[in-house]
Amino acid sequence: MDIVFRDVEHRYQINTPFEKRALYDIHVDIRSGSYVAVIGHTGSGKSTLLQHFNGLLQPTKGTAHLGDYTIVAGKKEKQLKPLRKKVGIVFQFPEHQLFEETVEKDICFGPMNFGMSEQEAKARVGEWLALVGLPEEVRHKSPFALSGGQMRRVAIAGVLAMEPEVLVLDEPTAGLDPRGRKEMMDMFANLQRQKKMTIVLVTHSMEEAARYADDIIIMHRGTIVRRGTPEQIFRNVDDLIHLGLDVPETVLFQRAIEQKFGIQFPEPCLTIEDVERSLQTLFTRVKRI
Amino acid sequence: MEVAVRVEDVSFQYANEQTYALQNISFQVYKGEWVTIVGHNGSGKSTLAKLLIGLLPPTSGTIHVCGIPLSEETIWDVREQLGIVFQNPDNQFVGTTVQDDVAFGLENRGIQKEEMKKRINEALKKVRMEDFIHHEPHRLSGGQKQRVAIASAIALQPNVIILDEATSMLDPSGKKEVLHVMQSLRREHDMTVISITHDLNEVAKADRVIVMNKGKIVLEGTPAHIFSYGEKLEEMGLDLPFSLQLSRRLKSNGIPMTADHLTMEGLVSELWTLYSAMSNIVTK
Amino acid sequence: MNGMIIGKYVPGDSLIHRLDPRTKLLLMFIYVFIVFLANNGWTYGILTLFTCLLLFLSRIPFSFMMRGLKPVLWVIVFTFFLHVLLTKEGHIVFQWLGIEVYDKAIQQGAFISLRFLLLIVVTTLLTLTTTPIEVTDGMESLLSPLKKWNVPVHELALMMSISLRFIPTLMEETEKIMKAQTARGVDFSSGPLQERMKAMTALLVPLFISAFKRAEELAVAMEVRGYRGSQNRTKWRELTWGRIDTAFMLFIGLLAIALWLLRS
Repeated sequence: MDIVFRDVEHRYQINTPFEKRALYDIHVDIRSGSYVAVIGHTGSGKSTLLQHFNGLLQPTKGTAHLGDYTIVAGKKEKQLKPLRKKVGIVFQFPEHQLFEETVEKDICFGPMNFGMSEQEAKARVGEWLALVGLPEEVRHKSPFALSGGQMRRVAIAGVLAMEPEVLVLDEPTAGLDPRGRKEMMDMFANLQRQKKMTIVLVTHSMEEAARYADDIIIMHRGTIVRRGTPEQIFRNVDDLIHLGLDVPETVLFQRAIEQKFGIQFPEPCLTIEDVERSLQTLFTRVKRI
Repeated sequence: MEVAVRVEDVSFQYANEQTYALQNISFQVYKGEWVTIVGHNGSGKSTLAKLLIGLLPPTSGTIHVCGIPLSEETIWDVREQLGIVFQNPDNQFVGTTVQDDVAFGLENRGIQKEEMKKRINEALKKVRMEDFIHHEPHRLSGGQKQRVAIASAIALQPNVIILDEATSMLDPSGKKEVLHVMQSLRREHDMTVISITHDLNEVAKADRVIVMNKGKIVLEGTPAHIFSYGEKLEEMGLDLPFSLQLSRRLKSNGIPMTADHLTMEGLVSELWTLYSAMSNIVTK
Repeated sequence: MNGMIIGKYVPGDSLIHRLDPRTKLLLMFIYVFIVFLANNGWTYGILTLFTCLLLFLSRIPFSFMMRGLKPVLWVIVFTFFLHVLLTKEGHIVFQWLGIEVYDKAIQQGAFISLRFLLLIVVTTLLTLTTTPIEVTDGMESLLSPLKKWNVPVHELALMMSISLRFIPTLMEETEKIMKAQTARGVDFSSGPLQERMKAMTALLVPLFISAFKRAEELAVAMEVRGYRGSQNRTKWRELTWGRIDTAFMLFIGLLAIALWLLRS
C-alpha cells in the first residue's frame, strides 16, 4: 500500500485562541514495501505526522492518500477501521497499552477487534510470539509479570497480529539496553524482508536510520526539510549539523579521515562495515603501489 | 582518600525467588569521584540502586554512607547524605511549579524561608533552569524536568548524588543537557557521583566503572581499562565506543594498529601515521 | 465542556489577584450566604454593584466573563421562565392562551435568576484570579484549627496539590492510551454496550496500572527528599495577610449589614 501526502497541514485546536500549526507543506511518497525513517527533534512534528498514517488525526488542509483511502481535509472520514487494520502503529513505550490477564488475550485483542474469530486468533498466537522472538511459555502468563523488554515485544506482537501492511514505529527502542535495541531493530528489518511490510520508523537515532532505512525524511519545526536515500542525506554533513541533528559516528569518522588524508571517499559510510571496507581499499592501494 | 560510600559483601535475594539478585558485592566510592555502575537490564544494577538508598535491606553484608552504617534506624540520616535522581522525569516532580518542587525537600528539612529562597535560586542557576522558576511541569521537556530534579537534589546539599538511570527515558538532546549539567556541577563543586546506567556516554565520563552481570561485579576500572575487554562487554549486551569497535575490526583485517582507541582523534591520527609510514616505504 | 471558564486561571497582577487566597475564600463563602439576604430592588442593586466592582478590580474583561457564562445562560433563562409561569401572586400583567403572568412572578423570576448569575460570577472570579495551589494553601490555612481534632489538614492539602500537579499528566496519558487502543481497532465513541465496556477496560486498566506505578515512584521520590509528614516542616508558600485583605473583609462586613438593614 502506497502512502502519498499532498500539501498536508495540521492545526491543533483549530478556531480557538489555542490554535497551533503542528504540520505544514507536507508532501510524502512512501512506496509499498520500503523502509522509511522519519527523523527530527522532539516537537518537530513527527509524532503528529505519524498519526495521520491511520487517520487518528486528519489533515486540516491537503490530501492524504493511504492505499485505497483518500482523506481530504474538511471531510470527516467516518469509516476508518479498515484503514487502521492496514496500518499498525506501535507507539512510544507500547508496553503501557497492555491490559489483559494473559499475553495470549492481549495479543488477540487487536485481530479480534478487526473481526478475526477467537479460535483463529488463539491458534495463531504461537506464530506471532515467534515473530517477536518470545518463547511459547509466556503465552499464559500475565503480561505484567514479564520484564520490560518482553512486555514491549508482547505489545508489538499485538500490533503485528492485526497483520498490517504498513508498520509505523514511534521510537521503538527507547529505554532499551544496547543489546535489546539491536535485537529489536533486526527484528523489524526481518519483517520488512520476509513479510514485505512497509516500515515507517520514527527515531532520534541517526545510526538506526543510516543502517536500516531505504529513505530518510528529516522534519524540522513542523515541515519536511530534507528527504532522500541515506547516501544523499549523509553526503551533506554540515547541513545536518546546521539543523541541530546528530550525525552518525561513521560519517563523522569518514569526514575526519577525509580531512586528515586530503582525500574523498566516493560514497558516505553508513555502517561500520562500510568504514572498514573503505579503509581496507585505502590501505591495500598503498601496499600495491 | 576519604570514602563516601562503602559496600561490603552485600547479597540480596527477592522473596519468592530462587536466585540471588546480588551476590557478594563489594566496592568503594571515594569523595569527589564519579563512578558509573553499568550492566544490561536485569544485571542487578537497579537492585543495587534500591539497596544504596535504603529502599531494600541487604540480605547480608553492610553499606556505609559517609561513615554511617545503613540500617532501619539510620535510614533518614543516610538519606540526608544522598541526592537521588530517578528514571522517570514525571514521577519525581512533586511541586506544582519548578520552585515548589525544589522547595519541597527544603520544607521537609525545616529550612527557614530566607535560606530556602537563596538555595532555590542557587540550585536552579546551577542547572540553568533559573528562567523557568514559575513553570509548571507539563510545560517542560523531559531533560528540563530532570534538571529540576537535579536542582531539587543539590538544594539539599548532599554529599553524594546518585543518578538512577536518570537519562534513560530522555531523547538525545535531553541526555546531553543532563550530562552537561552534571559535568559542570562536578567541575565546580567537587561532587561525588554514582551513576547507574547503560548509556555509553555516561560510562566514558566516569573516573571509574563497575560492570555488573548476573548479580555480580565482573569488571572494575577506568573506562579505558573496561573497554579493553571488548568482546566480554559485547557478550554481556553492552555497547562499545565506535572508535574502539573500529580499531578492533581493522586489527583483525591486518592493519597493524598498536592500540584500541577510545577517541576518534586518536584513531584517525594513528591511521595517518600508519598510512604515511607505509606510503613512505613504498616510495623509497 | 468547551467554553466553560470556571476553574481556569487567568494570570494577572490585579488587586484581586494579589489578595490573600484566604480573603478570597472567606469573601466567597460570606457572599454565598449574604446573597440570600437580598430580596428587593435596593439590596439586589447593592449586591450587583459590589459584584461589578470586584469584576472591575480583577481586570478580567467583561466580554471574557460573558463568554464564560454562555453555557449556563440557558439554565438561568429556564429558571426565569419557570418562576414566571408557576408563581401566582400580585396582579395579572397579561394573559395569553390561558397562561396568566403576574407582576410578582416576573419580579421574583428576575431576582432569582440574578442571584444565580451573581453566584456564578463570583465563584468564577475566584478561580479566574487564584491558582489552584493558592486555593489549596488558603484552605489548609483556614482549616488548620481543625488539627486540634486530629483532622489531617496538612495531608489533605498535600493530596490536593499533588492531584493538581498530576491532572495534566494523567490527561495526556489518557489521550495516549486511547490513541494506542484506537489504533488496535477499539472504537470509543460508538458500538454496542458490551464492546464499549471492553473499550473502557482497555483504557482504564493501563491507566490505573500506570497511576499506581506513578504513585509508588512518587512516594519514593518524596521519601528520599526527607518527607516525613507535617512535623518540623517549614512552608515555602507563606500566606501574608495585608492591610488590603483586612479592608476587603471590613467591606464585605459592611455590605452584609447594609443588606440586612435594607431588606424588606
